[in-house]
Amino acid sequence: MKWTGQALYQKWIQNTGSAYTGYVSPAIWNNIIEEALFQYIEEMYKKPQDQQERDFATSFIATNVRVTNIGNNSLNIRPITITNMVNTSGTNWTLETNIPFAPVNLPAQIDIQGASGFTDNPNGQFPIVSFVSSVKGTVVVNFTAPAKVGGSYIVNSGVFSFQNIGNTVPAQLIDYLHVLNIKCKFTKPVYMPLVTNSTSATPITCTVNWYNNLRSSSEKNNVLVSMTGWVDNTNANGNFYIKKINDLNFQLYSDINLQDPVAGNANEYNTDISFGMTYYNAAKPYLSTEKISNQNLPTAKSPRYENTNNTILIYGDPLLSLVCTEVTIDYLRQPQFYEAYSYNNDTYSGLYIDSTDNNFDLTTIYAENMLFRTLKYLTDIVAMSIRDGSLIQFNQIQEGR
Amino acid sequence: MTLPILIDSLIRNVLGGFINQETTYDPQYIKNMIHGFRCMQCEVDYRRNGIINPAYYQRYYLKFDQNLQFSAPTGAVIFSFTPTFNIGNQDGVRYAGTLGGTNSGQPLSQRPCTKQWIRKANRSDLNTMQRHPFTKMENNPDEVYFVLNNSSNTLEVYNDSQVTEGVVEGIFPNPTLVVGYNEDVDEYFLPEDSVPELKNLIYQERLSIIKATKPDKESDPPFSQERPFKPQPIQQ
Repeated sequence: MKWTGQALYQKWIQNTGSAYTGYVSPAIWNNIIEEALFQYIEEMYKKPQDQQERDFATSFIATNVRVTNIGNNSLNIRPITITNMVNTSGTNWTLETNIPFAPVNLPAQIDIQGASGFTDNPNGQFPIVSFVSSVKGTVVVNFTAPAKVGGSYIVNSGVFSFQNIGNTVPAQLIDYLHVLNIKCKFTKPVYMPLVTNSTSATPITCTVNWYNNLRSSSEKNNVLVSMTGWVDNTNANGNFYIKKINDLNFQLYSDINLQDPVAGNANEYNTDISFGMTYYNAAKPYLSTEKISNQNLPTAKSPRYENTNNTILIYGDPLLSLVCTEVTIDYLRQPQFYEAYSYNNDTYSGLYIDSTDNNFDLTTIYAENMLFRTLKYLTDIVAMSIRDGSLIQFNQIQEGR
Repeated sequence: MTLPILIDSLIRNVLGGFINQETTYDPQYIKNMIHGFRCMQCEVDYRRNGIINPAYYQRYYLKFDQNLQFSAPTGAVIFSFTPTFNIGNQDGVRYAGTLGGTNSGQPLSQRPCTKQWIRKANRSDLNTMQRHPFTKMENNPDEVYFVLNNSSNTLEVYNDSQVTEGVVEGIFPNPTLVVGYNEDVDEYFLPEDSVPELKNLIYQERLSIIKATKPDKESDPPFSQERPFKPQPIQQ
């Protein structure tokens, strides 16, 4: 059967009795089902190890989402409300907000939706020129868009978010609801030992000046060795897996199974190589109370994260000021942003389940069982609001709670 | 067994690594407990059997650092070092001396021999030695002496002003402080049969915290019951 918003509404009326239609008009029902959806997700979030719940809520789970435009070790979440937008000159625009966010790494583009007042309507994706932090908590973003034609901006209209150029991977998690797992990439500099020599052979053999705890790469030791600064043997610049051949020498490979050797292009002796270890490990939450103890300091190998200032802030090693270059995140989505997050430059669709819609088949997005379960939550909410104890009890018995 | 696996086996919960669950134990705290238990286990084994399992030993490579030499005592070259674990009346050092070129890539026949340095318990011993013409350092140019200075985490080498490197084989209370140790890959030596004992130790402590908490023995009143603070009618 095709479960449209209208069909779902009819089913709910059928389940609870037509007497309730007086209390719950289609417009109110639309509001309540949004609440019911959230209740459903929150309940599911409490028992994420339950496979049944995960199957129901597949639509809300986003896994292995890779984000690379990370500025200030912060990952922006949810769209940010615009407070003012000014066409400074020609195609140069300035945008202001009072909500804190983290500037993303450039090049990146800004995605503006819902801004109104201008005749030229600067909604859409535009390249960011720069971020300028100004006083009094207002943050300014400069970007280029078509020059202003007429009209004036209606204050507080519209929201913005960040994308990478081309809108292929997110630079901001606009549909973020709850974090499930975050992996963070950090490169920790190594000052001792120094890498001093590399060969032109295949694989490249590097020499270090002292004993160390470098180990051959394996599934259990998937740490990458990072080197920059080779002038002649440029193939040795980058991130590599290594095979340790003795205490002071190791060879470079591009795969963890050590089957794909990296070929050198010159013999070089150099004492000015930036040498580091790149870790890509899962982060743990960093609670404020934990910051009291230095024993809990995050490290590149054991990063931490916290939700703060409308962002997810990632800690590699605060003492070394390490910079996170990439994040892979699993998280729960907010249901109403489903369509907007499909990278097709779509607009924010708002509530997806619409009691008046008779075209869109909801089962193409949501699991059928999940829809029925949500109706139960909806019934609970309605029954609570009209203090109908018998309906609550009946609903619970029906569901086996 | 590596240290992370050992920690995992001690504090793993049913949910595995699920990050949204508050962990009962801080891994750093568990690490400290494991290091302490390892020292205790080593000493117990030594007292019971009279020998130390060689797996407890680690190599600490000494490298010359010019910046350290400003605080060096007269006639000594000092190296950065981490304290060793005292076992019985020994200082936990099995060998201290030259490297011997074992990793130089040279053929075995061409590698230089190792040369052991002579341990002196403290500077007082060294002074006593200097007073006697037969034992004083100037009359024994081939002998190199060393003194451990655990208060400043250094090792002082005497009678060889040109020394630039060396190695110490010893038992270290915290193996992860040894430069060459990679805790993700290297074996963390602890006898397998002692792991349950360690687990008991940790759980005992956990249980003692639970025991210290006042139990909630009073059952909550059912909803039908009259609330205890209901005002009583005034007696005439």
